[in-house]
Amino acid sequence: MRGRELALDTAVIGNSSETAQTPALISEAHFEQFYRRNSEGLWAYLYRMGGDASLADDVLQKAFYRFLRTPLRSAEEAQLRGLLYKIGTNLMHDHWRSEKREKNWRTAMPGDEPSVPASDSALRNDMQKVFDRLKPQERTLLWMAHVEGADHREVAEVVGVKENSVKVMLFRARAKLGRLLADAGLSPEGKR
Amino acid sequence: MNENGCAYEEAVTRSGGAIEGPLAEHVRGCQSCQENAAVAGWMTQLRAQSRPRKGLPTPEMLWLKSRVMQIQDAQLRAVDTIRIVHVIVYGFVGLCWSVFLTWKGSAISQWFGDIRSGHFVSAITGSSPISISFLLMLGALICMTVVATLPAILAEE
Repeated sequence: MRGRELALDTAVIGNSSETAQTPALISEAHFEQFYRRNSEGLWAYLYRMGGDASLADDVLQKAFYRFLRTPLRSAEEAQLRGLLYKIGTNLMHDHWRSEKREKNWRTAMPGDEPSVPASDSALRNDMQKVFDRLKPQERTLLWMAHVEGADHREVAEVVGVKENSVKVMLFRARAKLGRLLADAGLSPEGKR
Repeated sequence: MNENGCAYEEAVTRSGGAIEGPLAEHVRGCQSCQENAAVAGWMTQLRAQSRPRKGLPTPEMLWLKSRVMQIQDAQLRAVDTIRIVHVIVYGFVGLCWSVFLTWKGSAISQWFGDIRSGHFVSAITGSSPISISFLLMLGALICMTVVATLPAILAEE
C-alpha cells in the first residue's frame, strides 16, 4: 500500500466495459469529498430500488468497496458517479438473483417459507408501491434522469444501453409511471 | 405522441417539477412536457422521502476497511499460490514413490521375505538384491516426503 493512496488495480465488476487499461489512483481526500457528495443520493436510490433500508445500507457499503477497487478511467465527477451507480445497480441485481435462488430453494422445502418482517412492509408506502410496479431498468432510468439530473450519456452507462436508446426508453418509462400514478390517484390528473 | 419527446424535455426533467418563467409557458401548451413535469414533481417528492434513518458510515471507515480488505485479498492470493505449490509437490513425491515401488517391487518383496525368515545378515551384507543405490533412493524419498509434509504437520499443530 502506498501512503494515503489506494492502488486501484483490481477489476471486480463483471462487465468488461467497466475495466480500464490503465489503473488509476484515488486519494483519500478525493474519495472523502466524492463520498460526502454522493453517498446519500446513492442510498436513496438503493432504498427505492429495493424498498428496504437495511438492504440499502449493505449495498451502499459494498458499492463503495467495489468502487475503491475499480480502475478509474477518468476523475470527472459525472463519470465517477455513473460508475458508482452502475456498481450499485449491478449489486442490486446480484441481490435479486440470489434472493430468487433462495426463494426457489425454500419453496422446494415444505414448511420453510420465508417471513417478511413487519418493518419492511411498513416501509413500503404508497409511493414505493407505485415505484415497485416499474421494472428495475425503468426505475433506474427515471431515478438517474429526474433525481440525479444525469444526461443521456450517463444514464446509458448506468443502465448499460446505447445512448440513442435512452430518450425513447425514458419516454416510455415516464409514460408508464404517469399511468401508474393516474391509476393510484397520485397524479394531478388522477386527483381530479 | 412522439416518442422522441420535446426539445425542452431535459430542461423539464431537471426542473424537479418546479417550472417557472418561459419554460412554464411552454409546458402549459405541451402535453408531453406536462406529463414529464408531473413525473418530475413526483420523483422529487420520492427523493425527499428517501432519507437514511440512521447515519451512513463515515468515508474514513470505508477507506480503512477497503484497505484492510485489499490486504486480506493479497494474503488470500498468496495462500492460494502456496496451496497450488503444495499440491504439485505432493503429486511429485507420490509419483516418485509409485515409480520406485513399481521399479523395485520384486526386490523389496524379496528383501522383506529375507527379513521375515531371519536372514538379517544376508539382507544387510548385500547378498540380497538390495543395493546401496536402492537404499540411497529410499532415503532420498523418505527425506522428500518429510520435507513436503512437514509444513502441513507443523501448521496443523
